[in-house]
Amino acid sequence: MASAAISGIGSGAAYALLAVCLIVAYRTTGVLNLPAAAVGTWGTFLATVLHDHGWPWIVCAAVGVIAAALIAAAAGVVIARWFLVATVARRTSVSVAMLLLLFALSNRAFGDNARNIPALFNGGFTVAGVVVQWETVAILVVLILIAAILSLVMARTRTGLVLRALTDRPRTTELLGIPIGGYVIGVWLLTGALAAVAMLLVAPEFSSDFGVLAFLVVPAIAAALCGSLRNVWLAALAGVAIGVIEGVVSQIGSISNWQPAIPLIVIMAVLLYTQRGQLWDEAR
Amino acid sequence: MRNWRRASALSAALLSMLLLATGAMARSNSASASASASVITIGNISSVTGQNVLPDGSEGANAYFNYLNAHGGINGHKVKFVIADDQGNAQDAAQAASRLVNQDNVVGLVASDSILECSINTSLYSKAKVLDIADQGVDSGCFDSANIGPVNTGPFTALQVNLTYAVKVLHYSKVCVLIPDLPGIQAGDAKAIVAWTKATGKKLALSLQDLSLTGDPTASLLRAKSAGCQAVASNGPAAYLAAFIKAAAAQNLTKSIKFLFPTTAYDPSFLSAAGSAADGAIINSEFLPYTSTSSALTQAEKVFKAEKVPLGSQYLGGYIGAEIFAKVVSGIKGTITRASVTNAFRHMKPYSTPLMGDAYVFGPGKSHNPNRSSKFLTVKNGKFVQLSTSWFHI
Repeated sequence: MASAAISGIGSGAAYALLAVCLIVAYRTTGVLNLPAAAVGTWGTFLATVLHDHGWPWIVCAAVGVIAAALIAAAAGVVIARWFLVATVARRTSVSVAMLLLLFALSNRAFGDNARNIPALFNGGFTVAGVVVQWETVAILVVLILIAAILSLVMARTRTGLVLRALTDRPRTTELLGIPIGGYVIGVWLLTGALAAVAMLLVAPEFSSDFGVLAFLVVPAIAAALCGSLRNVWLAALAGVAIGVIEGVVSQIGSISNWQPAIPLIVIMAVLLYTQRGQLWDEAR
Repeated sequence: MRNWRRASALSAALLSMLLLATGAMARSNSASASASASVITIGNISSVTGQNVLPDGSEGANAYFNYLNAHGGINGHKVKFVIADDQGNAQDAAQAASRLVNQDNVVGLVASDSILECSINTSLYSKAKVLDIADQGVDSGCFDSANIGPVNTGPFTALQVNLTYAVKVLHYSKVCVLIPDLPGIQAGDAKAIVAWTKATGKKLALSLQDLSLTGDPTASLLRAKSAGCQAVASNGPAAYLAAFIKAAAAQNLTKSIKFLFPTTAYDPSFLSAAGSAADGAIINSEFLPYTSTSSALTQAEKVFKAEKVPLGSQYLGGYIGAEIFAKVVSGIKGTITRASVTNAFRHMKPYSTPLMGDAYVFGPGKSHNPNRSSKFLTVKNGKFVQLSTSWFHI
């Protein structure tokens, strides 16, 4: 059982890193960035295309990150220009539309063949009979770094203050003379680059299928919700926990086929728990 | 209000971009044919776009028919080959079949390649008395229909072939199965395992048939290790199998366990995605291996080169299907209609080709799976190497 739990840390770290990317986008733009993993996968797949042409992987990875940042920035332009003060429902619809668009275009651009996505770090070390990959360690390190930087920037800097104001009161922030469009596009650019870094680290562990990778956003949403879309540390912990639970569940014969449903169960549980007050109020 | 209008306009623009991209994509390819009374119209339903894209078989068949048309057609009749895209979804598959059968009046369907087309359309084919010939079947509906006769071994028989090879040729006693939970596949896999147990008298040391197609298989691989599996047979698309063997290699299991994969892994994309992890994996080829130097491939290579189609296992399957169709239909005396084509296949003599280990036959049966042979390959230094020159039958 211990080995099963440890084997889940790899995918759990991946969910956690993506969850942190989701929280960065949500806290700064108020949009649940559903296409985050898809944007990152676009960057990763572009990198694999260049790699197939003989480019060194590290150069391809850098180009992939830049490409994903530009794709995300283009999405940021759309959000900043038309949907900054739109309702949550409308902003979420835009997010869904972007995800579907990236899906459709990926099919045309990359086809359905298995892709060669090299790991940035090879090898690993053994714990309780399980080889833990250095790639997993790298994901955990990047995860802690991003979470720490984000917490500091949001809490301690003027940029953080502006971004928080931007999420809660976009119009008021604009009336104070702050160029909010630039900030929004900048944040999307950054989240695109972060998503690509996340997917470049994460993708070698999973099937190199666009759908599989883009939908890693589902367990990431579950983890981000556990952190109430605010607390990056809690979300990171929840991400790793989901991976570990998946690992353990896949070992228990009678419930092993529930493994893919775990993120959805977590999402439902968190939503029900956080909404319990409202239901109680309405009942009264 | 202005903002709302802008928002609506943008939503409309996004939606139309989406539609263009996914795009009312029911693409209809046709081999060049002049519109005259003597044209034979043949249909094909494949997942050209969408999830689980499988366009290779239709391209292989299209190449054969183009070549055939350039060399006189079938007894002077040109072939019009209409490829309908089901985008891997049930509704499009049903609409495609209805259009081909009722509007295009196809005489039969050839070399269709989709993960759900058979199960969705089998009752329509039965009502319309039309045959889906030399299909490259994936779902179990392809192998238990009176009107569908696949040319490929298919995922279920391939699993049985691989398990049999593991015990009879490789002489492993602890054989295991680790397969993902794919819609329309699981029941067929279970049947194949029962058939294998019945034929060999062996039992699996571990059988996990519900791995997540999207998740990390490491935990399941560790179960195989603790169960003492010497050989593990799996199933699924090339991208999944590449991730599977990479996860096994990461746990140093590829040295102690022999992995056996179906023909989906016999593809350059599997080698490039799996890298050095693939070395030692065993893969069955349901047709004559396209990487072999056999002279039996010369004609197919010539056609594919002329039509600029790459040589690959599924392309070859489409080519073989088209060849079988042309040979059987060329023997029809009188008008070539849906009824005469159906009759010809119901009463055909087994058709042998060096490209397959068994003769293809449709016949009057209620179910069809004539191709039950494979040649085996392994991966050595990132290349496919043939293990046996003879066919392995079950």
